[in-house]
Amino acid sequence: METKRTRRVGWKRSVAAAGGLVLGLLACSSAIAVEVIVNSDVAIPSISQSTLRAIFTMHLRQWPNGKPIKVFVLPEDNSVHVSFSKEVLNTFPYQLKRSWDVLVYSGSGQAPSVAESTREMLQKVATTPGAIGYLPDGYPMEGRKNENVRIVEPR
Amino acid sequence: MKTSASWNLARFNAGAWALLIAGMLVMFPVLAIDITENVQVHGFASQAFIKTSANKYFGRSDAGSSDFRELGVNFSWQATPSIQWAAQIGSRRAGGTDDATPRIDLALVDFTLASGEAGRAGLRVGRHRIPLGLYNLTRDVANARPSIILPESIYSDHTRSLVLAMDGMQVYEELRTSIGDFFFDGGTGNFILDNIQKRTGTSATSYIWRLMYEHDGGRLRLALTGFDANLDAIAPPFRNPKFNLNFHLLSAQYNAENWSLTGEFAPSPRATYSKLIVPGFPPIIPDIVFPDLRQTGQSGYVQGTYNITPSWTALLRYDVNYLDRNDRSGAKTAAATFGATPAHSLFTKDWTVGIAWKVRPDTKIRAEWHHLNGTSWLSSRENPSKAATAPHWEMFALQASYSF
Repeated sequence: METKRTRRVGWKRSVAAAGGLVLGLLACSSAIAVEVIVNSDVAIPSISQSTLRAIFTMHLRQWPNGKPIKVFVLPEDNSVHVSFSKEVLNTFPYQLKRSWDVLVYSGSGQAPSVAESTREMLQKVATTPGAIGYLPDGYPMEGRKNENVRIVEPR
Repeated sequence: MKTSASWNLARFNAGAWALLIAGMLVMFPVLAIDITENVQVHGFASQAFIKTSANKYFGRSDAGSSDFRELGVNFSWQATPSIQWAAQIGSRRAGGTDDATPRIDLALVDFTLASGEAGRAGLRVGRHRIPLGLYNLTRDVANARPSIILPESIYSDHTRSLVLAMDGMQVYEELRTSIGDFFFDGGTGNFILDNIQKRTGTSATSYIWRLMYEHDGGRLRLALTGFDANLDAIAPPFRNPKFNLNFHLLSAQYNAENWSLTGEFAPSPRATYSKLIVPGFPPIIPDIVFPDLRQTGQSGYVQGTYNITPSWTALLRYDVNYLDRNDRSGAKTAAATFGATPAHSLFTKDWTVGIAWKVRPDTKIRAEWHHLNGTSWLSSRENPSKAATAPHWEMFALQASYSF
């Protein structure tokens, strides 16, 4: 009896573990939702995908009020950067890199600044006037010094 | 003695450059913090090893050559949102075709005259890069190329300095529309000749324009390039002959998440020698006027790349070049020259397979194999006798590259 119950419990555990693994894999393969953030001095309520793309390919350099745009990105292989490129900009990280390379090596533009982590991303966007960047959806922004950061809705 | 001294000088150049780059690398984090945030420093370096079964490509490749290396440092200063200064210094050693002498690859000021959500327009003044096809603007940077060697039919290395940069100006315009983005660049100026080319002429006013369309953030890219390069040639006994290279290039690329398909085609690149006049000996003998010498070729390639994993990419390409589109097999030319210009020197067909390993986002190691028929794009500086070249040959190349 004792053995049987243990065995049954063991079986349930394996199912739970397998289920957890499947869910985990699904979570990994599905995209991370990403939010666009700006420094609070940027007075725009929403932003279109094409404008975002122009900003993150480093072609659009000024906000409507003429102030310079400071672009921050996460490292090329960061999963949040990959999701941002695909889901928000509808392009791929290698395409963004190509666009930056062309601008840099033809002398007609610059590459964005790289924030090494989401934590640094938040800190940089909060402290740089005219800054734009992105963070995973629901990233804890409360309790930090981020009254200086706003989330911008896609249009 | 003399040879040894100049050899040492060349070595010193390479050593000094390596040191400078190493210094830049070490200093870069400091620079990034200390210099104003609107200044950026980028750089690149590569070293290759090339082995060919016959013929010479970038050094004595038939014996195995490590004579292909590229170094460069790029500076830019965004002085205001609408004014950017940029400069790039590079050194390239490529066997007998390039001697590693440091040179200014780029030095310009870019004025944005109008900018908004719908687009941008402006002007570049100075030494500007020639926006030819899909890869010319980044052809120096190994990490930004799809392969160790770009398709030679279009990105020929022996006419490299004619298509690299010009001293002059360029206008540009970008338009973002609901159906996609349009980019136009139009430039004029004099291209930069190397020391050996300076013996054959002086650069005259040349023109470049490119219209590019990008759909869906670059998923589909289409481009049309027009190029007209002029040279006041030095070719005694002719008085002041002109050399002109004129072509149009069609480019198309489709980019998916894990694969890209690229094709570029130059239907009729044309090289012309005109004003072939031998002055008569005054006062009795009149000038002798020869008809223009003209050769119209044809070039193109199709290339596929596939990302096997995020860090491993495979490449397959077929690249073909005909120097004379009316004599693709080269037979007529060979017959007319009694074999001095062998048929196989009029074309090259190149099958390439390659693999790239992205060790880190800034470092790549590549290997590629070229299966070749023909020698049309081999440099005559490295292969002085066309008749001595082998028609069927193989090339293996290995390269490590870095950029920041």
